[in-house]
Amino acid sequence: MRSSLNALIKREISVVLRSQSEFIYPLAFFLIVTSLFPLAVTPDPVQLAFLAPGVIWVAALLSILMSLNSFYQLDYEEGGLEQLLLAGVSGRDIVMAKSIANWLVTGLPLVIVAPLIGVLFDINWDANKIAMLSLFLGTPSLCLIGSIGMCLTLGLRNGGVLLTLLVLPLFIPVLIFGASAVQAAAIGTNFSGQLAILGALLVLSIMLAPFAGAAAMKIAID
Amino acid sequence: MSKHAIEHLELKNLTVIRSDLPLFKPVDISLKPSQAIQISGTNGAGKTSLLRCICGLSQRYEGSINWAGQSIENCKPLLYQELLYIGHSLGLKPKLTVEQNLSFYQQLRSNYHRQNIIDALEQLEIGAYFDEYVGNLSAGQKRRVALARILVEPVNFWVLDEPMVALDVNGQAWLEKACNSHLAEGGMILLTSHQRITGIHGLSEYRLQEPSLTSELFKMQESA
Amino acid sequence: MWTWFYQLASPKWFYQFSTRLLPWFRWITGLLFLLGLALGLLFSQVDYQQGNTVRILYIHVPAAFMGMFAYVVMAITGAIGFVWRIKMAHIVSVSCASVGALFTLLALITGAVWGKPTWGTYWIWDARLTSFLILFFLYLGFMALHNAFDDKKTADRAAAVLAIVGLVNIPIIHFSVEWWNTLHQGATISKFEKPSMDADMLAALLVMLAAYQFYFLTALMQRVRAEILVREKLSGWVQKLVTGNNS
Repeated sequence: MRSSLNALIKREISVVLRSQSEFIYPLAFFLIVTSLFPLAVTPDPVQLAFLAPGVIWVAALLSILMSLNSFYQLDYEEGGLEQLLLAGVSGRDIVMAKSIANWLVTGLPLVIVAPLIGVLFDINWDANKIAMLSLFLGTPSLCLIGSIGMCLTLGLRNGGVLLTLLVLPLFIPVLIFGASAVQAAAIGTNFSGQLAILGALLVLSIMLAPFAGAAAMKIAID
Repeated sequence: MSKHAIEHLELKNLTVIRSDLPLFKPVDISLKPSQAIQISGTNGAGKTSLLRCICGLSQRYEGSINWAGQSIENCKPLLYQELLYIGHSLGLKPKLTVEQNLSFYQQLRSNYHRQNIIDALEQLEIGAYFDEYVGNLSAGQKRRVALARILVEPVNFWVLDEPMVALDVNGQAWLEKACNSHLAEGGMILLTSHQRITGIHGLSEYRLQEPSLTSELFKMQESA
Repeated sequence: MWTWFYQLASPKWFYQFSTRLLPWFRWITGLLFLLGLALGLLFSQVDYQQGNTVRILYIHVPAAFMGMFAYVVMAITGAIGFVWRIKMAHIVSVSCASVGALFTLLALITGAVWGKPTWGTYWIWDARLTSFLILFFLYLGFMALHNAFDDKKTADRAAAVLAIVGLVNIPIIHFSVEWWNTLHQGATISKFEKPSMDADMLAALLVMLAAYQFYFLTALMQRVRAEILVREKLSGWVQKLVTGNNS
């Protein structure tokens, strides 16, 4: 069973990497959205440093939201999901494999480029490190929670907009603690509590999201 | 052969429900090793829905679907070891090559056998496309790739939804031959098709009948 | 026979049963509201700090409570419907959504109206108001998802999954918003926290809460009955009912 999970993750990643530049989109989106803020608000370094944690986290959250579609929608329409179920792969394993692949392709690059945004927004190195760490702990939860919403909207025509409405409220705890950890690091206070809660949220997502996602997937296929 | 002896499909008083109404008159079908049944009916008669229920993908049915003597809801792992379903959506990834697609499904079931895949593609006259992306193939070629799975994955029970669609004369002849040898080995085949299939030995046809709606409504009034 | 015949039986029973119950519920709701509003608006004492604005709380607090209560009912009935495939449970779950969303909206509006004289602004990112805003979004998501499907059965099951996920998330969201609020607000205290409450204030509040509960049951019953009629339009008893030759 574990080997099928591995095979599935590998397949997901190779599909996305073959899709020309599609996997770059969320990353490019992340960079562009964050660079809009200095233009929209102010180029003043002090204020930018104050905005940075929230901007990084909101942009990361939206990038993850954007990336979900490419992992599920086509697979559903082309009959791939049902073939996986018929080959005896459990719905939970499918959701888990897709979330892992989604994170490796979308979440991990965000973690890596986050310090670049930090530099552009003039936040100190400590806060930058915590930005990476908080994204590292938080974005997998977003992929997992997002997969529930994605599976719920699979068969729908206007699934994209609805997905936003369903999933964003559920993202709020991750957003609050993620952004807050970076803020705390920027002003030099203790941030370990926020990171611990992000870790706890991740554990909870890993335990529960695949069940909900699998249930939703079966409803969509039915 | 003894392994196959208990494996059989039994549909009892089965119909598919759409918006609270049955799609067709309840059917009783039993399918045993070395038997093949063609489900026919008009467009929208519920052929595809029926197959999806039998595969356990949909639960919108009333009646019972038994595999090897127990309800499929209770023995899906057992059923899925022996079931291969090829539907309208072929389940092929256009971004992967023919070989990658086939080997992935093969690996999920058993072990990777490169030669096995090469042979299957040769038989289907698409051997040259071994390393081609599925997205670059024509509809008929994609259908052939999907059908190659019946050679690559050795299972007993084939469920084929409109397998003849998009196949040329050669392809249809090949499929009929493959079905015949599968039946000779004790396999079971359930398929749907608009056209009459003559090349499969012992293929019996089952036609889905429209439910008599007024009488159903009358019954509902009676019971309510 | 097919089990959907049996499934039909239960909504019919509920419809007929509730026909007898409904007038009673309407009367009780009306009387409780009259009593509660009289107690709250006329006979209870004026708060020495907040003056007459405190009276908004008789509307606000029960609405806020019912907003959460309705969500819990919605999620639990949704879960029951999902697990045991009971049509009636789904109907109740779906009917809860719009009533609960209205309670939540009422809590938000009365909160804003109360905030103007108290805080000097209509909206403040107070922990409780923020939580209710998110709860309102959860309701919107549920209703939007349910409406998005053509097939009622699919819609029921998908919405039920969402409601359960939401139910698991509500405590987490609530906790995170509380935590975020204490971090950012510092000294500002949330005045929705009840200080010491007079006996007559408490009595008025409890009567109002009972009134809201009965209103919820009445409105829920009405919605469930309407939903039953729509869903069972093909069955004999509904057709008899609508065409009027009811024996």
